[in-house]
Amino acid sequence: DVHIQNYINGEWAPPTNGLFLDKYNPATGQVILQIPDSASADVDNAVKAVKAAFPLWSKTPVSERAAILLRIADLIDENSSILGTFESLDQGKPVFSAIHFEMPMCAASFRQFAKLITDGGIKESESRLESMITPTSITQPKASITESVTQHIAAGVAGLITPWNFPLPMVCFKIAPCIAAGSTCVVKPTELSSITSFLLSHILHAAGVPKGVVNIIFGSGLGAGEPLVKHKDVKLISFTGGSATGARIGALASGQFKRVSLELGGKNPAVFFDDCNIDHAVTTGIRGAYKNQGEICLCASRQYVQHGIYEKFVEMFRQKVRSDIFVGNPLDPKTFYGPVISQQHMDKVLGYIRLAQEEGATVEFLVNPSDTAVKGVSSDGRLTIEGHEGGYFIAPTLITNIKQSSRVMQEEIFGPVVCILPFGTEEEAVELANDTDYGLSASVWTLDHGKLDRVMRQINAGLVWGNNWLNIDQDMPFGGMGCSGNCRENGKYSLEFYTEVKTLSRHVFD
Amino acid sequence: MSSIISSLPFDPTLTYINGEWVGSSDSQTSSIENPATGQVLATVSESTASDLDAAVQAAHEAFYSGAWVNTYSGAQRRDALLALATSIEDNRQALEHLESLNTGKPIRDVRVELDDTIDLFRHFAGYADKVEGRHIAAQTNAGLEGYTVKVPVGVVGFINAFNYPLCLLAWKVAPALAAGCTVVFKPGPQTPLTTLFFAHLLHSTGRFPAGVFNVVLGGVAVGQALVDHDLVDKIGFTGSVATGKHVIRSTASTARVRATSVELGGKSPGVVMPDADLQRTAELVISGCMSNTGMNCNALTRLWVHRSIYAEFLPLLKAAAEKIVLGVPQSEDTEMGPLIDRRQMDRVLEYIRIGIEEDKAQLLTGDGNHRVGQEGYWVRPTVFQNVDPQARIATEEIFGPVLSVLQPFDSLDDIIEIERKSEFGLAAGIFTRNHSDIARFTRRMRCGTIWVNNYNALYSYLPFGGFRNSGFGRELGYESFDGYLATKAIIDDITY
Repeated sequence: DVHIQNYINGEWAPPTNGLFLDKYNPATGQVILQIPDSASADVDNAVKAVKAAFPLWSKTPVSERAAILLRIADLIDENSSILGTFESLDQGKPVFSAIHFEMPMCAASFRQFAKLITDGGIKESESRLESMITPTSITQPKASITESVTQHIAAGVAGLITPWNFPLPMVCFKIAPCIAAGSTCVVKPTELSSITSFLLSHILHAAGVPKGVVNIIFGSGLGAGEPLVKHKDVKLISFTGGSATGARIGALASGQFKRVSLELGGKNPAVFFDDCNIDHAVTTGIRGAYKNQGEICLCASRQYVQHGIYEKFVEMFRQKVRSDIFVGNPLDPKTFYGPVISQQHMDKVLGYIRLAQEEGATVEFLVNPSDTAVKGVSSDGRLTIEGHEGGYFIAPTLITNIKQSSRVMQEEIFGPVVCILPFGTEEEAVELANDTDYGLSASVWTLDHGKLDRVMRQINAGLVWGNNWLNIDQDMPFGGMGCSGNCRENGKYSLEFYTEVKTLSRHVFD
Repeated sequence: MSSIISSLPFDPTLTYINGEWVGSSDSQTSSIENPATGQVLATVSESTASDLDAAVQAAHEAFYSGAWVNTYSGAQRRDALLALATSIEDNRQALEHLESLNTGKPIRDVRVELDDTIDLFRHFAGYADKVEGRHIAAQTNAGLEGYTVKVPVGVVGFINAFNYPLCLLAWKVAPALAAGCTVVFKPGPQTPLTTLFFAHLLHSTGRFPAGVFNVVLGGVAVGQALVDHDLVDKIGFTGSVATGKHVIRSTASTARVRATSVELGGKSPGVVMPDADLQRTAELVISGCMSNTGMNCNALTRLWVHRSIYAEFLPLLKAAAEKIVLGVPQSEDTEMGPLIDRRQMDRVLEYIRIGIEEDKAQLLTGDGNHRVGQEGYWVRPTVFQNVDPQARIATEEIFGPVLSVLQPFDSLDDIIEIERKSEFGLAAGIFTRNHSDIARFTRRMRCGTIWVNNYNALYSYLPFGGFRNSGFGRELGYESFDGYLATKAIIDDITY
């Protein structure tokens, strides 16, 4: 029985305008709760509180900040079942994955940044003693000796805007480095999955995060997100979401010289050479296509398989999806993936499926014959699931014989739809992989050492995997090229975003 | 006397101490040979204990006076080293010719060594003005600021080996001078000539104050005096394990403790897997072993070949070894020169005899007559096959053109287990396309350099050095530069 309210300055309150948005359970299509439809007034209150909290928080010793981060992590762990269950209900993802993989990722993020700041991560800076500055002008005729040192300080008030595909992890990945660095933030979580962010506000409060350091306001992108981005006192914006919204945020923020971090979409290629381990490849290709309903910025939505194994690969893919993948109720432990997030999003995904059909591509719905919950499949891939007839379920969709230039191959679909095409040479594979406006991630599959290294190095993506997928080292830089984004996160890269650097340069007397 | 010796721009009977060219204080001299012919090439001085003392005093004074490291900021040291690199480049032909005469190296090889020498001085020049410390504000006590400062270690004494006289000088001297240290340098007793030429070029740039770089000449006695001198802050040594251990012991028995970095021998293994490109690998292996006539501490001298390709691979190795062209080192066609001196030649021939008579190993190349000609110290490339991995020729460092191909093997993981604990740990090579085999080999082997599908490639920016009896400390790369620095921490209460 969850009643979502804004968390501002250590207190919970409804939006000042008294307006609420309906939130639908994606598994049933029914309204399950309402979330505040916050507007400028709430944003103003939140930013005011966060700005007031900044001076003290930024000077709080790192050991105290780290202790609070560790308490947050512990509370997340203690509540992982409840959090994971609500996440599943809210978002549609399978409950097992939410509880056992995604909630621990949230706790780990707070622990990682607690450790980074106490291990000297952000406090470390450069000092260069005695550099000789050569004469530059009439007023400075002699060479002088200068001692320089850098000072790292918290950057200020941040606005954090998060997506609906991994609701709580995304919020945690942003809050943790922000407050670890001594900055403060207003968070505007996605309106499509707000429950766990609301529960997090209670965890932050219980962990002793001082009032005003983290404020969480709920609402839509236009209603609450935009005023936050435009607010003159918000110095930094960190956004994860779709490229179109990212473009708008970037445009709004640059005019005010804000520091902006954009983590956007992807149309990630997977390249499978003849000499890959085909069993491992097919299994991972399936995961890459359908995990989390295909709602992952890193999903392997276009797969290229070398001619020599193409037919075998696709056939193995088909059979394995049909035998292993169950689509249905997210609370059912058998379910591999659940409904997509909303009616609107489902319509968008089905639209791409119809487009592929219209273009004459081969479109297959790989429904598991022993999945008794599936009562029907529409012509464009929508599934009717027993007991969940209003839910937004889409069949595991496989598209072949489609053109590389098709919109289906070039635009991000963000659903359980994968395209698989053959290729010939190594050069062709690289060309096909790079033929995209995006550049977030890619995977390369071959057991040949030299080829693996050569191909990985030539693909223009921020994160390239070799013989694996979705293995993310939280200390290695993460981010995209092109339309996928403009920054790098993780570890010290995230801390750097929330940190300002100064150089102090002192004259040295002989 | 060769015309090149008589036309050198400096007097090779003198040495360079405290910015001046001086003879030995008791007029000692020694003869330097051309190992290709066994003829005397030049006469040089031999430093006495008092010459050594003068050199160290000069380096000490130059260091503490600030001539090199206070008044001369990093940028000025950088510019001095860059000028020196250009000077070496401008005089490279004369240096190449001299090195080839003194060492017997083929002229084509010496050219590559000059490329490396010039690159090394330019590369380490770039570090000179980038010495950085770290500034860390206190974690719990606001107001206490802490920062580190890196300063040069002081006077460095170098004892160089004979196998790459000029190139190894660059490995040592470039980072040491860039860091702000001052240097006393002793070349291998057989190979002082390019070191003296280098000193001349350094002096001629006019950018190195007197005492910053000094050369002493001689053998064991001078080396011992250098190691024993109280005013030396660090010793860098390249040479044999036995001498290296002696150097380490000596540095602990003087009045003052000092740092050492030692680069000792090796018995580096290669592994050829079934999916290797056999022809290309055979050439890489032979070159990996026979380069510089095998007088290379990281030479590939014991080879594991997988059972399934053994019969097919060995004839390729034999052919690659037998086609190496020996000849007058200064000829463009020559691929391999002589050993450095009679002692080294005798040692190598003795090991070949041990291989045949004691280890009972089977020759792949040759018929037992391994010395070539009667003049100079020439030994032909020699390959043994089916050698017991415990044989003396397979485990002891020969330092000559002798390769032991071990008995065939079946499991890479078994080989890795043996080699990662072996006595030496300088380098290793693997030849395969299999990514997983490469990953295991590169991660589990415990040696300083691992070559994958190539051998002997070295770069100024990648560290080189040993594990276990191959030594400790690193040359090349940032790690070597850092070895010539010491760290100070300064803690400052700014609320006071």
